[in-house]
Amino acid sequence: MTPAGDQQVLNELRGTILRMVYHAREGHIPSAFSVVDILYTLYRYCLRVDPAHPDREDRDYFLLSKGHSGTALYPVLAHFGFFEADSLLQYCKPGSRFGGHPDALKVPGVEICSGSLGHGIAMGVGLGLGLRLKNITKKVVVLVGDGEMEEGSFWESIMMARNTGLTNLIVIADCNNSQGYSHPFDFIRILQSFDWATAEVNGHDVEALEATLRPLIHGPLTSPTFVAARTRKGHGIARFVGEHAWHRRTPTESELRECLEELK
Amino acid sequence: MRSQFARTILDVGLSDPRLTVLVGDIGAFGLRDFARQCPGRFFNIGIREQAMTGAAAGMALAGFIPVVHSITPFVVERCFEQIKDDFGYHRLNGNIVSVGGGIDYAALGCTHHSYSDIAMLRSIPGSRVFSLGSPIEVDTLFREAYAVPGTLNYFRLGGRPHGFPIEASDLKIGRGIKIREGRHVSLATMGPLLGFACQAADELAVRDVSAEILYFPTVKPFDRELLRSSAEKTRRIVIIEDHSVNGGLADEVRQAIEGSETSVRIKALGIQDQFLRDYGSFDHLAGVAGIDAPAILRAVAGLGLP
Repeated sequence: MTPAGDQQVLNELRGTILRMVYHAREGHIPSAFSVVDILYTLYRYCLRVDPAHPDREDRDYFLLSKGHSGTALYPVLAHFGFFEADSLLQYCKPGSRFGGHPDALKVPGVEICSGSLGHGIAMGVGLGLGLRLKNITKKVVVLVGDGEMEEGSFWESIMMARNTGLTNLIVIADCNNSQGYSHPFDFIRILQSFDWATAEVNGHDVEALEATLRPLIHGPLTSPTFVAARTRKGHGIARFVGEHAWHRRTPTESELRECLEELK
Repeated sequence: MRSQFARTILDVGLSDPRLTVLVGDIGAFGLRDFARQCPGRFFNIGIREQAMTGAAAGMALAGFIPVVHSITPFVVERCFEQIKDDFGYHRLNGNIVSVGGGIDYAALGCTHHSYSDIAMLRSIPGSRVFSLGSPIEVDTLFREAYAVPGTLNYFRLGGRPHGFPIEASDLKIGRGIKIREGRHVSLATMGPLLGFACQAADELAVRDVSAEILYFPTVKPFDRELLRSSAEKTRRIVIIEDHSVNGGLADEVRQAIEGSETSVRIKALGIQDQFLRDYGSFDHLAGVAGIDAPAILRAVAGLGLP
């Protein structure tokens, strides 16, 4: 279950995402709706970060590897006070900090510049190794897409993390099964065979997400850990779910109005 | 060159705890002293060059200064996007050190050649590119360059030292070296090919042609001033590089004289639009590519000199 208070915030966040994309005529709404509950839960209940000091070294590091979901990350960071929300509607406009894929050099709280797939997990491994060398006991959390897991560099990184004995890396996979042509690989079984710890969770249930992720992030781990978050692309607006045409479509004015109504 | 690299990073690593070294299986044995004496900061990542490069960038995010090392095609061409995005776009300080650039692995076929590495690394905004031909260059330039914040450095270690004595005091980032004064033609080169340039200049001297030799351990940022002053004098340049004629030293030379008042005749010797599919020694393949001393003499003749 998602508590009513959280659900209200999530509806507002989805509304902000819709308005951002509507004004920019650019962006990936369904991908953002797939991960926004995960992002919200992480920043609300799990990550030990300080919006006033986003660069403090002793923090949990959240790396959004599927950069096309940056559309969801910006409003979540704004909601938790990393920056003012009022500039979000400049998304993808000239001079804006907020692009179609996030730029870590521009946006407080964004840890990496992502966009090309299969990069974030390798950077997360290196960051984890660096934190280990510095005896910083916080965690590195990387959000990838299940489509992203087709990249070879993803699997290189899975083995690299195991070989280096990392115990501070958590990879959450946004498993929205939108790669319709892919064989339905059993990633849990595969990751277990790589000697990763695994967990599975409903990626739209804030309580379940918190119950799964918070102990992993706050507690000691004995191996790198993979969490399959079962999600639906476009979750929250009926017309988006299962409709690939919406992957990079922007709503018309009347569609925007109807969607915002549906979120009330 | 490689053993000098091992000595240099060991020495730097002992005094700078930020230095980490990542290898893709290749080079693990040669760098064993660093691994032993800088415990915890040496990572044999395995045959995973893309992940290795990304992980190195991650270490840089954590405040370390990574050195990534393998054979040129694997540590540059294979993982170019990680170099571009994870280091370049993030403006992270890191060091890529490769062996086997150009045709150093002459007998191993084109998978093990790399004629594009310098072009690729030059194209990363803010990068610096070094093509080195003797141990003292490795030691001096690595120490000067490796820790500049926000800078990605690429060091191509030549397979065969050129044998010409270089003074440490002449080695500075971005500075070329005038190896020999001349009046009639400028020979601009880098890395091990300095040896061929010296051979050719000796032969030209017998014919009363005075060749000026310019040597560029730093390809980017390029010493345009040195090149221009030489070109204004000789009006003829032959570029000799163990790299594609596209995007490497020849490109820097052309940019340096772009817009110059003086008209300069240029001949670029490098890998033309071809794969060098033959096998044999470095000298043999250099002959096939047309970058050895006889090729330099032919190029000079082509510019109207004896």
